[in-house]
Amino acid sequence: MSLLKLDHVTKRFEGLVAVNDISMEIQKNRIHALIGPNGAGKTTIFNLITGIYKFEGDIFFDDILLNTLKPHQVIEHGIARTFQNIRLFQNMTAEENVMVGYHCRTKADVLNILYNPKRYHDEKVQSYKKCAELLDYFHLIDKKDELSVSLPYGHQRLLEIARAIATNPRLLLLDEPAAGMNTEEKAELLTTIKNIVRDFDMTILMIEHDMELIMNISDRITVLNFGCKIAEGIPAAIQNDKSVVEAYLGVEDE
Amino acid sequence: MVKSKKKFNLVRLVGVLIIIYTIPFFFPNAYIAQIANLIGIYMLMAMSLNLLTGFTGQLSLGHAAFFGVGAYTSAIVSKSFGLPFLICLLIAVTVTTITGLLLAIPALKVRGTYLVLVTIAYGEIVRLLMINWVSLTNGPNGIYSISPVSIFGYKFNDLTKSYYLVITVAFLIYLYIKLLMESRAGRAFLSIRDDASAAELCGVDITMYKIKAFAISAAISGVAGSLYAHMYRYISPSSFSATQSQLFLCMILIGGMGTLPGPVIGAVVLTILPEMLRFMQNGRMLVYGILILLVVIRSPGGIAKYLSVLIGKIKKYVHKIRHQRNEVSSS
Repeated sequence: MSLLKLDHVTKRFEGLVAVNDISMEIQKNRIHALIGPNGAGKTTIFNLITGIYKFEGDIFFDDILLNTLKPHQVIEHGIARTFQNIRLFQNMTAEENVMVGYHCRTKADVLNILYNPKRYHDEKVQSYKKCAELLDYFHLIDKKDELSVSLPYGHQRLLEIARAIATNPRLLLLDEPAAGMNTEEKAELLTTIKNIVRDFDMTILMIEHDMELIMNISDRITVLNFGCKIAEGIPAAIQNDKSVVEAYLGVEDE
Repeated sequence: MVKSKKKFNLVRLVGVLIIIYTIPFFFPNAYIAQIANLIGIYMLMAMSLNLLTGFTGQLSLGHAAFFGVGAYTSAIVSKSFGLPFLICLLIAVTVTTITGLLLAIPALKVRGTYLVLVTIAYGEIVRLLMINWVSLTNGPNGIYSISPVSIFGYKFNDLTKSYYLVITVAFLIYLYIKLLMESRAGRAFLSIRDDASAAELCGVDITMYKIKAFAISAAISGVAGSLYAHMYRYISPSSFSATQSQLFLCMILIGGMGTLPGPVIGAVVLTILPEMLRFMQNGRMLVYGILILLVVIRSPGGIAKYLSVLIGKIKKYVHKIRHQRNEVSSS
């Protein structure tokens, strides 16, 4: 069953067509990779799904039309994402970062403290408990009081994923999660991502440049070039696809 | 561990309460008492601005306008309809909150430098209205003999009584902001300050929360304005000028922007300092400037941050000495 469906989606910036008539489906509980050379429109697709830009065509998430929703509404429906360049809240601790993730799953508002202190208190205790569990899952619990900016790079990446998972998504969009990691860290990341799918009943759509990681982890791959979909299939098929090789390496001159 | 921390917090709370409630016994004269009252009002204003600027990251240079709207509304309602203080306060807070929401409309469309310009413009508009809408505000002459603060017949008619009132209000609002900042809403404010678009992609409705920050901030300013009008019983446009807005910003800058005690410290320092420097006349602006520069360069988080680092160092030192002593006694 497909969880996310892009139906003839096109995005134009002025004259430039960043995403050109793309249709694709992401199956539930799978890891789907989105690859392509720089400027192919991968991150733009993430931005379209999460409601940052308006676009032509339709995007359905579990039969809900996402087209007119604002980013925070999309997140509420169960899609979370990370960023190509880590975007944590730098002046907040690791714990606080994850707590922001619980925002859309909790309700206490600015005046609750005055007229409904019990709910304010219960919810606070609950969220902190869940937050501790999640930080523990990512082995970040002993860093919880550190400012996110002072964490090592690999931990920052993990924390960003933890924050995204705190929003309780069914679909997780990872934008180059392995960027800047060494071989060892990449191997760890691979296990982590696979575990997330299993432990949180998650579906993952990820952008990645590291081919080894992609081939090892993905159930299905979509290849973009200049905003167009040029191939889609299982990793083995993509590896041998002529148009993909051409897009990455260029066409041999006669 | 948690229990001892709770106990420590309770001890600290009682300590602070004892200090702020015994201060009036040491008022040597009316002049000092007057300053203590003003500090209370300015604490409210600094906390209000800190919520919007320090915690939510929306820089405002027009906060004196909220203060003024609160003061004028309360004074006008009181003078024309003779309503009791609490009703005037309520109306003042409502009107100020509405102006806060009105300001939020243009403010949501811009950010950074442009937002500052919008808030300056707002401040100027309010000031010009105070001066030129003579039929309502009595123009540059201001409004005289406003009824003093009285709650259910109890009159806060001397400086000690009004000090108790204003410091209690300031304390309650401090507690409210503390609880707010530890809550989901508070984290939403902080996340907007740090990275608004990332906040939105974590599920925070940033438009709504910016509006809420403007509204709460304006409401607190309304409380401050209303108290000011009824405590001083005379208000004029000059009390709500752009210079005043800058003073509030200086308070949170020097005290510690985006910290809880920051605005309190800032209000104390920047209310007492000008009085101490009165002999220098205009030269005191120079001292201000130097002070801000010093804080910005030496301790960018303001005095509050500096103190917390200092306390941390002392604690570490004490811990170390204790540790050494234990080692000596055990060996």
